[in-house]
Amino acid sequence: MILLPILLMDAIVLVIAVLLAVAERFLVVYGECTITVTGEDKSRSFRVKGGGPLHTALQEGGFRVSSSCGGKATCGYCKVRVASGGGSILPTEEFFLTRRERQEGVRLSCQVKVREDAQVMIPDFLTTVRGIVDNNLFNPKLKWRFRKNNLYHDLDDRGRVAFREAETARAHAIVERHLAEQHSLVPMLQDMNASFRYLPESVFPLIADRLHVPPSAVFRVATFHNAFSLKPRGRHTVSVCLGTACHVKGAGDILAALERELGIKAGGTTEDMLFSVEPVRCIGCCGLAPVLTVGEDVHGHMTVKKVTGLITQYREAPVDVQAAS
Amino acid sequence: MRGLLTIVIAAILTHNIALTYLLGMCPFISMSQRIKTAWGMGVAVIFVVVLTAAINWLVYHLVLVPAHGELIHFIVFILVIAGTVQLLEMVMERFFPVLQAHFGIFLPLITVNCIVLAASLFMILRAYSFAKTLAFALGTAAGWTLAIVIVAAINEKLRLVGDVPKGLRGPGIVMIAAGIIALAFLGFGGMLRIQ
Repeated sequence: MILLPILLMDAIVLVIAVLLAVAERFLVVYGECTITVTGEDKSRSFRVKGGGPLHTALQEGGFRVSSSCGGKATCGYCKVRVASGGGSILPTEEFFLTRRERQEGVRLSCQVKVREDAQVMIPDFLTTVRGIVDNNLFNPKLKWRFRKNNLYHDLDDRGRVAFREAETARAHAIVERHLAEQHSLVPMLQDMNASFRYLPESVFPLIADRLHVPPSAVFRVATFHNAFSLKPRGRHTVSVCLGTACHVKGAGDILAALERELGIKAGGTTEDMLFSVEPVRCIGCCGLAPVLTVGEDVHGHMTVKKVTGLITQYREAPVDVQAAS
Repeated sequence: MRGLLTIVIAAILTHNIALTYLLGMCPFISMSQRIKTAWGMGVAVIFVVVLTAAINWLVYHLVLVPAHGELIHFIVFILVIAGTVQLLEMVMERFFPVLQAHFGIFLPLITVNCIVLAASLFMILRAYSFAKTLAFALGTAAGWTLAIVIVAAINEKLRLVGDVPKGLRGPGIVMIAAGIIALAFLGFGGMLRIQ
């Protein structure tokens, strides 16, 4: 007796399944579609059976597009640029796309259905991050935009600092030097930071590639440590100690005097790329308080009056060729 | 005929499924940002609710009752709804691409919408005939559409004013707006009674 409803349900499920299978056989006739993907560093085209979402098709083709909602158009992470063959923007997508993105043909790949041959451009990780920053969904202090008058002038079409050949070689040399060690990421970044005086965006894919980790992992480490800067820094980094001893001895006034003298705020860099000022917690020479360092040099017993002289001294110092190359 | 009309009007006004039973709240909140989307969703809901209620009535009375399988009607209805929506999507994509472009994207969302199931369950509870079931399904879905379009209109106006407190933006203000409209719909309460 108890078996009857179960059998009944099985029968109904079977009928529905058969109906769906038949319908799919006769109604869905998309055939195979070619999807051409242009990525940041790899371009490839593959064939896929039409009818499914683009996101799934890309995954089958070996391209990972991040997504956290599983194709329900609620997370908005799976953005790709569909150059052709995507149809029109659906109402479910509109909420996630800015006006500019709509003009550029950006779509949520989970909502685009593969019906015909399509051309897709997948933004790489860093472009995605920049998009998040531009949309103010991220800490704006980490903005990667800066004025053009820094040392490595040329910006490429994506707005990042273009590496010249020598610089790429330099970055490669640093990576290769540390590659043999275990846990070499932080030393690598330290050397990069020392060599370029900040971490140019171009080094992230470069390091990630050699270490076989995603660029996000490198980015995570680079933004965690205060010692790394994502913005170009001046030739001389002036670190003002604000530890307890220095604070009592008037380090605040010294910092204020420095800011006034250089015309920048703490954490900033002068227009001529000579000086960066940053407050630090403790340098460990409380006996010399108040103390500051310029590059590797330690200057103890500072006074407000001494600041101008000190800055002039470094401004007129000969360019340290070793540091710049 | 009068009985059918009564059911339709009652389902739209006095027994509005969104505002008195508080069913179908998930799309009600998420899809009520723009009138256009709300309307698209509403039309799709009308379509699916009427279709599935009709099929479910047939399945219940022609298969489950003769076989004494009323016990499992709940599960069967869910399966039938899911299957129907899938089938509907395929048919629409093949034969009515224009219609598909208009509200095809809402169909997968509707599969798990509780008003679709609710309409089928109410018709069993109230022992409706086939004609009454169709009338009830139509009224229920139309009432839900009416409610979501009203809330969407209010949301659009609110965005123009733009001084909703930060913590209330999004779902919060939709809930409050829906509550006030529900109070207004309570005014219809004494008009008719359906069984």
